Amino acid sequence: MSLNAERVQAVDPGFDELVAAVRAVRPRLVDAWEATAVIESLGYTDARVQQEFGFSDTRAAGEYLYPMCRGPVGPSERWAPTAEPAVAIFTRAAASTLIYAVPWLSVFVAQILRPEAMQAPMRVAPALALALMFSLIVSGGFVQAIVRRGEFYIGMRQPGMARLVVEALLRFGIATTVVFGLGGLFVGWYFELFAWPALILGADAFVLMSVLWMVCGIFAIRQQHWRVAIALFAGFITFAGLRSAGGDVIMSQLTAAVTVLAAGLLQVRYVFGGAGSAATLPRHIKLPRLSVLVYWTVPYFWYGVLYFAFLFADRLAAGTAAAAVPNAPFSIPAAYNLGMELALLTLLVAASGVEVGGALFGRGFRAEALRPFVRDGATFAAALQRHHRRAMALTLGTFVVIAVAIAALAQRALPEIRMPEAWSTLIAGDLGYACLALGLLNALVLLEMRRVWAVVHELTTALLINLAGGYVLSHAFGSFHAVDGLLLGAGYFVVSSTITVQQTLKRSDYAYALG
Amino acid sequence: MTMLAAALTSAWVLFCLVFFAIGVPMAALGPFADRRSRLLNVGPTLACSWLTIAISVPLAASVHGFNWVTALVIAGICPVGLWLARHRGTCSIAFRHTVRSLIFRALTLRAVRLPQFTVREWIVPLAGLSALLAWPFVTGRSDVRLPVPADFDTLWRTRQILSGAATVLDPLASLAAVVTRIAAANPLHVAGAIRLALVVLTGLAAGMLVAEVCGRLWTIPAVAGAIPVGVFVPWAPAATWAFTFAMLVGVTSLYIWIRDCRPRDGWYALAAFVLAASLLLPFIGNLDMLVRVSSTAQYLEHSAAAEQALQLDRSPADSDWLLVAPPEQQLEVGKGRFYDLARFVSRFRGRTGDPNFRFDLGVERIYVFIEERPVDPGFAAVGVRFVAAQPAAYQVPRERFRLGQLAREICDDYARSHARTAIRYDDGELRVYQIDR
Repeated sequence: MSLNAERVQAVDPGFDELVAAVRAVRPRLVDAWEATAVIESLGYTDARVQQEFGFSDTRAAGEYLYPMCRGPVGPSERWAPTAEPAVAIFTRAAASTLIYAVPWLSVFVAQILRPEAMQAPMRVAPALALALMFSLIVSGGFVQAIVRRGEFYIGMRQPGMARLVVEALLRFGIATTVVFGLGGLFVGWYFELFAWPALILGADAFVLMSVLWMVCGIFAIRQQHWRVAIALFAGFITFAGLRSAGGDVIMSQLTAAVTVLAAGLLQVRYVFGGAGSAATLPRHIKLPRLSVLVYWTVPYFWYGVLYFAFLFADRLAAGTAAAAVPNAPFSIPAAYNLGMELALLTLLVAASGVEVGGALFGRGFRAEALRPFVRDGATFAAALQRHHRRAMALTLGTFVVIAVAIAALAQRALPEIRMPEAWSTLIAGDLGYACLALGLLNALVLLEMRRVWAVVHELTTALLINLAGGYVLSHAFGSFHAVDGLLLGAGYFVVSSTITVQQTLKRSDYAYALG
Repeated sequence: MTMLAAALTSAWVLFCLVFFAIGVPMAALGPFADRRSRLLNVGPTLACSWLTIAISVPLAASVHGFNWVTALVIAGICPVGLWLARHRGTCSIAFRHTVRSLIFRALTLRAVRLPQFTVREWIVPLAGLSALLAWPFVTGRSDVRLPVPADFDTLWRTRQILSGAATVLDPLASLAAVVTRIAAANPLHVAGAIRLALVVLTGLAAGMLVAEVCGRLWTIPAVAGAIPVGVFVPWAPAATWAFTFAMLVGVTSLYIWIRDCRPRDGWYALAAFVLAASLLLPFIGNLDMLVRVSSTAQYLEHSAAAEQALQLDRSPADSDWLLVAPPEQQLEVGKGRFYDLARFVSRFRGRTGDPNFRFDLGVERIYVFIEERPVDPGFAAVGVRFVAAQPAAYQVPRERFRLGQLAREICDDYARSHARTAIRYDDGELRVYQIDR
């Protein structure tokens, strides 16, 4: 270091800021090279350190700065992961899953108590059912992308950027949905699947519901599930009011969906307000480069799409198998529908177990970082595997308890479920969804360790097995065998994802670095 | 149906056939530096994709799972297989590279480079096919009927596959079924378009064999010479053209394989010969049908009957009607909307004069086709399985005429005692009654 440098840094308050910045990033530097790297990562080039502080290059600046930052760190300065209390985890997980499970249950109960109040006309019902499924599939990808990117920027305390990125993804999602809606309209017309009124209604419902799911997904970024509850409640009130006033089922459903969407959109601006209000967010923030944004969001997008596609693949297979009947391109047998709706309800409620299991694993994963495992990777791996096994047991236990409870309640309240076809569908569906729940827990573990593409690969194969198996079996032996495809696909998913998790945890040091 | 609509439908069917059975597999195979002409790839790729279709369609039909989605999946099997074979050992790398380049091209708004298309090389077959499509405009008349009775067997089997009624092993019917689903066209149109394409492709395959044996200079004359064949050749069953095409492709590939010792050509030859053998399967015990060639077209139905049936078939999906007609029209409108004329006569004869009588066929509208002059295909229909499977009354022209007259009496009696009955079409050969409930 030159004398000039000493003089410059002595009078330049910017150098103190640099030291503070380096300390904030890395309180305990390993060596001068690390100091150099941190300085460069903060945007200082050779030219800049020469110009501002008089050092010959960043290496010289690093060597000068290292002794100032290598001092011993006190106990209070030692990094410790923020351990969320178990009660908070349970509450959050329960809220995030029940917020959708309760409305689903309400609609399910209403269908049983007042079927005429909920039943759409037969000419449009299949188109609307398909619109609902495909809206969840298409928007599922965007919801994942929105939530993951939103959480990332909120975690970095950049709500302005989060808002910008989420709004861009939402706009892109809406445009994609409209394109898919038009594409669906063309396919339906070209292959003469439905009459024009049903096609138009289906496309409308698809776009409307897709946007609705994406808007609801935005509230998950800051765990503000109560906002979803408000929007859904407004929708329920609208639907009940219109129906009791003698409104048509379709009109009431669509108006209720519009109400939910409007109630959601009104609240979106408050999600990114942070401590201040939405109006105080900086306006000069620029969107990250599109290619970078796409690179980070694509795997999560596919994960969301595949997850919902897997959830409905068996119904698509069953619906087309029953459609061997002329003039009915898509129809699911009532007993199959009942069994699978109960199984899906079980999954929706039991998803809180998956969420809790995943959150507890994440907490344990971070807590293990505090323990010294120097040159003892096997112990570290064993500790992580123990956390994984506990999470699996918790997920499975929760699912079994909820499945038994729902099946017992259904047997008492629903005489139709006692039909052999419905009962066997429920049992097979529960088994399939239990495997899926375990697979989803593994997926959460792999996402924690940033192995998103591994999840996408396994879910893709599982979906193909589900679709192909369900399609062939349902067409060869009857619609009710579509659930066997779900069982096969979910079985594959849980086995392959467990193997991947075990293999990842064997190299837990590497996994930890990635995570 | 107007001449233009028929030509457009045929053009669309041909486009679907060429795109899915030839274009996409050729794109999956990629460019061949060692091939003297890209036209040389047309035959082998069609043979490969056709063989895949011939295997997959009966499998899908056996589980009642053949529909437009599976038709698209089946059409995609061959390109995917060829692509995997092309990138064997490096599939995941090639896939990742392809997907990434596509995504980043889309994001950076760079135009995707289309496959190279040499106009000089493709002008002859494209012009030839266009000329064949335009031929009806030159002659001033178009005919949507099948000109060879044996083709009704193929159409019959195509209908069986489409309805999922039976598992049928007929590569030609399987191809027609896949194209029918993808093109969303009537199987009669598809059968006619495939017939046209096969004639041209057989000529092309013959031209390529001549060019390979005699030298490149012969390519264009050989290909160009094949085009008029489509118009002026004697009438042979479509299956005969298909078999000849497969054999020519097999022989050409075998010749190149022996000459150049490239394994790929050996596989092409094998695929083509297997396809040729499988094309003979539906004709086992009836091989003379394949060599039954005629100098004139021999029809099983009146031209107006086919046109009127196709017109009805294009009506909206949710309209409620039934066609009462001789069995040939069953293949043109599908089984769900067809009622056999002989059954109609035996069920309603002598009852329709009563004013309280109503046709209890469960539909809002009935169309009745009456042949005022019976069609006599003569010896050409002998041995055709579809014809043999029909009631004897349809096989004897006099009986067929009598059946038509009885049906006419039924309709006239009904018209005298009921309103809402009209003659929809009458040209002296065919009369179509429209009866509304």
